[in-house]
Amino acid sequence: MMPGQIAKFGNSAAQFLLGGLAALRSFGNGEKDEPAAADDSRQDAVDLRDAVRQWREVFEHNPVMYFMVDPAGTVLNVNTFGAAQLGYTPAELIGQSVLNVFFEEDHDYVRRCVARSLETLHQSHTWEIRKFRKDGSVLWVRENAKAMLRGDGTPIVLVACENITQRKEAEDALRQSEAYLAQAQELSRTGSFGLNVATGAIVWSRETFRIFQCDVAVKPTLEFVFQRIHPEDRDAVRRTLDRASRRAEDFDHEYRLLMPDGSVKYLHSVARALKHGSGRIELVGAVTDVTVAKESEQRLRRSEAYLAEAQRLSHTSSWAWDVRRQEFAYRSAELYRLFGFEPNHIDVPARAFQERILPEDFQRIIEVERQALRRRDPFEIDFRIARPDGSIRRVHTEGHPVVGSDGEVMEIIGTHVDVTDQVAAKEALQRAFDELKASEQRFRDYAETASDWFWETGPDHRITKISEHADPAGAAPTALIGLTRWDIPPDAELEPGKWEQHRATLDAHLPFRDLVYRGRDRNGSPIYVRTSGKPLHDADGHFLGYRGVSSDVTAAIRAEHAEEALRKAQAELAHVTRVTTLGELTASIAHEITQPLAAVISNADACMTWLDREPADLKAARRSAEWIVEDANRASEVIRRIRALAKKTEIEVVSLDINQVVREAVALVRRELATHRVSVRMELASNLPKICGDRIQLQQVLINLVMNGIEAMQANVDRPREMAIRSSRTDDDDGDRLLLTVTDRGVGLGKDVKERIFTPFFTTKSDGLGMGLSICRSIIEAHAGRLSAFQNEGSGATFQIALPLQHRDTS
Amino acid sequence: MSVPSIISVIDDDPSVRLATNNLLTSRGYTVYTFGSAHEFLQSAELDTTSCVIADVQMLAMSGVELLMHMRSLGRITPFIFMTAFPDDAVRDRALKAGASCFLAKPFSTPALLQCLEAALSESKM
Repeated sequence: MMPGQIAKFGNSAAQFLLGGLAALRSFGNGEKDEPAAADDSRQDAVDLRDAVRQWREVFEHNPVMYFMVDPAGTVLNVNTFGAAQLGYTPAELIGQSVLNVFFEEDHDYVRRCVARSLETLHQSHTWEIRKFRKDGSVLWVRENAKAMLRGDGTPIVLVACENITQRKEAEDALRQSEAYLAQAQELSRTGSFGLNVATGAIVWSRETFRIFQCDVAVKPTLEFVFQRIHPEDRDAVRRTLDRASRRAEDFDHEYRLLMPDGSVKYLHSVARALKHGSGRIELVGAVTDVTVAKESEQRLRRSEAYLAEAQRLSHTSSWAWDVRRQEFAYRSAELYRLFGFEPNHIDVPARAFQERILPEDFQRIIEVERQALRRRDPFEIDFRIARPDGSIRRVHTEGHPVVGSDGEVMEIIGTHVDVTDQVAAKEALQRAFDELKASEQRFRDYAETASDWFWETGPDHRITKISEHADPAGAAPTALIGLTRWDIPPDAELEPGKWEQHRATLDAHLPFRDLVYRGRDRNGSPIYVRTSGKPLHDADGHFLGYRGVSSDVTAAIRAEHAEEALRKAQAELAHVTRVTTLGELTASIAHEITQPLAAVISNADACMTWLDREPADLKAARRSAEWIVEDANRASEVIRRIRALAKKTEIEVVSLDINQVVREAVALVRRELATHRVSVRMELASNLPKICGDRIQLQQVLINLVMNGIEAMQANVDRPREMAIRSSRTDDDDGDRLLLTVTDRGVGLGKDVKERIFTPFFTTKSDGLGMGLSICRSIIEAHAGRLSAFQNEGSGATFQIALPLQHRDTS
Repeated sequence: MSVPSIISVIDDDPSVRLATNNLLTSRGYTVYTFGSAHEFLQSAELDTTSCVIADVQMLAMSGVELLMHMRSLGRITPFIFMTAFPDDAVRDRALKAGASCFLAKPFSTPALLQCLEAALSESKM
């Protein structure tokens, strides 16, 4: 009941007391004024006085506050309890205005209430109002008031008050906590609800009304609720509610509302099924508007999808590597794709990823990771992935170490970018660039061709015309008109033969082609000129002169000269080493000649002995003489071969049987092999096609390799000194080739040695020049072949000469 | 010569082998030729040979090694060495091992015959 609300006063103890009190007050007061009239009345008076005293006690100490107020509001009387409640004695209040204990702002209200009571005599009115005590503290009271007429006909208002402060405070506290709850519900967008399953009656909190956009004044119904629920979710919600109702089961579900404005709300509802003693089931729960969370979740999911899409489009994958576990802490879907895994195979271990990295690249990655962990620096590395389909992807990686609270690197986060296409594009660009350069070169060639100049000479071979040259710095000697060709070149004296022949051609009026001579360009620099011309005749057949074209071929001639010089130098060097080798072979060579010589002497002696016999054994003598010839031939053959090796010759490329070349070379070092106790096994394939090459140089290479092999086995103690020379034919990716290998069982090649063995001046020998193998390689390369060295499986080394075979159509 | 002496020639050079055989046969010796020391050691002539004429440088087993091997078996067959590499160290080693002669190729026929006769008479003593 609101303060100030006046209600009709019914029968109650308070009303009775109030009536009694009024009588007592008037009685007590009268006693003081009027003396007793008679004895009877005296006795009556004594009884009455006792009764009054008793009533007075009741009045004074009844725990209800009683006030008697006149129409002006002056307190006529107050009981002790009433005064004490307000912190006063009755004497302090009596005679004062009753308004003194009310708040200023309530005074009007109090006056109205009193006036109302006065207007309606004998009727009770009740209201609630604040009072303040003498100490200022507040007291809430419910007041019952009734006006009545005194004996003298003047009205009086009787008021009985009960203290309702505690109830008021409890009400306030409840109101406040309800307000807090409402506020909390509003803030958390959580409303509460109760549903009586049997009756379908629904109780909602204010926030629930708000969530469902329902007028607080309207009583919510299940029909209304289902109207609000999104059509797609209605069945699911109905099923949930049915089950919860039937089995008295708690539930926790999410559904959507379709609001009148078309917007969608996402709700999360949790409820508990309460089973009351009577068997009545009530579902009590909370419903939360999770639209914002849902939308941000969707946004997040969308942005993740966007990221995945972006990664897919940009071929970029991201990952986090847990350093301690040596396992991925995170990897994006694109990472799976990059490595050729399905993105949904989330249980693929890191090791499976690592195994797809090319082993040599993986070693580098490990090293880079180790460094990054130590230095805590970001890093970049490129590596390759071999996918199961056989394709190779090139990857560019950037990684950043993440340092944990303990100061150690705990994770590396980074990205892989698939740069395969970029690399391919770069290579294509490089190719295009190369082609451009090539076409530039072509263009230059064209330009040079275009820089040819035309000339005409008269019947006396003097120049009559020279075309204007496009390039002013070019070669056309425009100032030469009137001169003969042999007036110009400075080499007329150097090569008189050439010019004599040329003049003879001109005098015979014959055409000529590609005459090359030395001249000077307009700046005086020496140049080479190539010229061709043909004679001109008039209609009657009279010789008019020549017409022709010249070009500056200085660059080509110089290149030719340089190549020639290089070839010469190489041949020179080959010769020098050959002679050196022969020097080393002197003893062996001497032996090769000594042997047949010894045989010749023995056979000659025997021949004479056979002839001296009686009778002479002519048959034996003749046989001896034949052997002498054979032995002498053998000796001269050795000498011929040695002379060939020692001779300084130009390279002579002829068709060769490689097996024959091998046999001849080995024959020269046979003794050297025997002396060093080295046995040679020859495994020469038959029916090998001929090769093109220089016999002497190829033999030089073979001798060099055999000598090296002998030297390598010098220290062999527990290994046999065996050498194998094999010839074979192979046809693989490198083409149809003839292979010649020299295998020894010597000390072999150290890794270091293998790298440098072919470099000039490298030697493992104490007395060698270190030119041998480098010359060998250049000789083989001059034959368009390859000389390579391998370490054998067991011991020793194998040197392999690969020579290209002539193409069938050209051979 | 009542019983013709058997001479075994061991040389890995066929033409030298042939020529030495020719020379000694023309002088009336009975000659057997072998391409290697092993070939000789496995032959029947090991027991009947009166004198061995061998090259020093041969693969597998050299002439001097053959001599030392023979001596270790208690065989006293005289040895004559021929070599195209007349080396003082080898000569010393050969003579020390018990060689009768050490001839440098090409040698003169009289020198060989002289050595041979000396060796044969030595073996007959």
